[in-house]
Amino acid sequence: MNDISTSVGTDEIQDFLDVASKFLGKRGSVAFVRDLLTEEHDVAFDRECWEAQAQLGWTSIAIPESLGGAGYPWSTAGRLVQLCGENLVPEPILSTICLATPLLLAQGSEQAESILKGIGAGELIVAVVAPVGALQKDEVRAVKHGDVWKVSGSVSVFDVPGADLVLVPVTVADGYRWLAVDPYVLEPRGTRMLIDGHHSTTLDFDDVEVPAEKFVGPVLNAEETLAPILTVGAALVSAWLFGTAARAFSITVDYLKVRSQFGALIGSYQALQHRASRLYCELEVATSVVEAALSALDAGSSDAALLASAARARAGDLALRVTAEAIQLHGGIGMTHEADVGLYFKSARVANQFGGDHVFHRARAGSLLGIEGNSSQ
Amino acid sequence: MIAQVSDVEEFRQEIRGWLEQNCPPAMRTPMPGDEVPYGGKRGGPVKNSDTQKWTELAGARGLTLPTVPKEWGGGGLTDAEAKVVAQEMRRINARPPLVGSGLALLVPALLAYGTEEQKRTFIPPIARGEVRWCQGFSEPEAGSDLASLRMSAESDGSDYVLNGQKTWTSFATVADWMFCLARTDPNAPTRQQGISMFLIDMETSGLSVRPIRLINGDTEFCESFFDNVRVPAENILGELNRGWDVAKVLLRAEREDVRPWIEASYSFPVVELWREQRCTAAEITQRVIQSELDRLGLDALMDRARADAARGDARAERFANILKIVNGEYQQERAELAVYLLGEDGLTWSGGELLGGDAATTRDWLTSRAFSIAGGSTEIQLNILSKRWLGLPVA
Repeated sequence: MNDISTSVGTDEIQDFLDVASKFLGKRGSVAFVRDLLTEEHDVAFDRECWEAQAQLGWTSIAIPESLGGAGYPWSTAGRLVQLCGENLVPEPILSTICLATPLLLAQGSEQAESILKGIGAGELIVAVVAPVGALQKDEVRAVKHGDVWKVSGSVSVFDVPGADLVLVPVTVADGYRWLAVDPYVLEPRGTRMLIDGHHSTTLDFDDVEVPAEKFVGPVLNAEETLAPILTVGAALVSAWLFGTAARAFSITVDYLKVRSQFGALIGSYQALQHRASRLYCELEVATSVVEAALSALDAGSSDAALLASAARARAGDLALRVTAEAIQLHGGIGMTHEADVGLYFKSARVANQFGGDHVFHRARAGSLLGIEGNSSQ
Repeated sequence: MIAQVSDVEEFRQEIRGWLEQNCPPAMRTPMPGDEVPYGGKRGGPVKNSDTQKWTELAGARGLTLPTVPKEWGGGGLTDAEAKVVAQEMRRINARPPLVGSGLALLVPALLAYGTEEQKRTFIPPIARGEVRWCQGFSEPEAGSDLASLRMSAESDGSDYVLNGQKTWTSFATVADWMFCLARTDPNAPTRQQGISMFLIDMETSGLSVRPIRLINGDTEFCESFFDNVRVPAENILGELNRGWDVAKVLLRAEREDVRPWIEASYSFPVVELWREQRCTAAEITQRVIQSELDRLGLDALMDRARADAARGDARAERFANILKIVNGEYQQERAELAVYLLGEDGLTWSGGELLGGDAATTRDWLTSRAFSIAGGSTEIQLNILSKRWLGLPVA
């Protein structure tokens, strides 16, 4: 495959990633995902596999050592997530590692820490209700009644069935709070399978009574509520999207080297060479921005939020474009269920829903740059 | 040799003091297009007299070619020290003391292929800004397909006699010398063999130059006509018939020398114009945002390219091709946006009461069309990426 990988870190980190790579090589997740679309199943991932990944240190990768985690920097987590994106890993990496982990780390509460320990140990799979755009006020709201809170509203969430807990942003009197709920007591309805095998389901809160300790953090304003998802989360999801694009690209370049038409390998035709090389240029720009965003988050730089949104917008665009081009450059074979590029095409579109989509993040980056809606007066 | 940290810090203090004393205050301001220090004698004095003073002082201190050994007119600095010089110059916004193809392109080739005599003869006057060079590569029938060049060079006694025509010889009317490719063996087995690199005094008889007017009004590009131009054999750089190898070093240096262009691209004040013009069109606002994100992407790409190159990654060379394409296109989009936002002012060639008093943005926008053509067109870069870096089959 073509080397569009990020730079080499320390030996320890490299060893960790090598082991992860080897595991993914044996795992054969692409075939698993292909079968999801044609075979009956209750859960769209393999729980035993998730536990094996936890054993390898994946689920605790960015959790601090004080909470039993590996305490690696976000950049390293990003490289693991990229590998998972390259391999279309069906386990809830995007939900639990990319979104729930940074979200819980930002809450600073005992409840959040206890969930993080469960994630690190591979015992808890956590899904997150996170909008692809702005936070909707009153989508789910909670009102205090004595010792308990009454919660009402309705939301949709990925990776249920399967996840053990769902984090929901709830509107309260003076802002928002994150609530952790067991989805199964809410009787999930309208479960659907998405184009890439992922499940999504609707959770109805019908004046559900919850005790105060189910809130995992303090009251926050709208920006603070989503900040961990829109910065660290978005940067990690970009690494996934980049991985998906990079692998779809390398599969395609390999195909251009073996497929013949008109008596020549199609990769020798300049029209196709130039299309491939243009994608290659954009992949190089994208991985540079993803890497810069993760490094900025590790360093706590003031431009980290901008870089995260820039990375997310670019990686989203790129994954959509590269996977579409991958089908075109394959020709008819690319339309078949058997060809991997179709699975990458579908996966990229669902992954693009995590952590705010590319359209939302471009507008957010514009706003962080001070470029938004000149008034017309 | 690895310099000790304390030595580097000591050097930093030394160079900081030197810059404070020697870099004229006028050379710590943004550089207008007519004050670019190209050096040379035939171009006449530059507009701001401090420009020449700065070139001379920096040249004498070895800062125009910091890492070139002192015996060849450079500063003899280590890479770490040169980095300190660059950092300290950036810190006070110092203008480059000297630019041009002699410094950026020919010197790397002289270092790689020049004889001791050639290095001693040609590098010091470049470093001092006394001699300006131009490039004689392209011909009317040899543009992107450079290896098809036809200018002939026939051996005659201790000289070679050159006949033919060169085009796109930038600044040939004001350059003192030209480095030039000519065919010394028309019967060589491949087109790349049989070419030699000549170093030619522009005042040699039989050499005439005519400026070409471009879409931006500039006349810096020229056609050069060779009518029995005699060049001494010792002015061949590299081996006879192996000029293509020398040219490759030069062309690579040309691709890597994108930094000035990249800085120039940032001179299109797209966000400021968008705000000043109170642009409310959603389409343009989107493009302005994307342009800023592209700029950020380019910065990240260059940082990564530098880091990979510094680590000695053999694949870092691909960044030269990628940067050439990406930079050119991002910059052209920025130029288009700037001119669109300027409205009729942006389309003004001369006269009227122009925003900012001149048509610089308009001329720079027209110039930007060359960014995807000069120095190896985007299509040539895509060919190289396809074959060399993606390993796609040759037709």
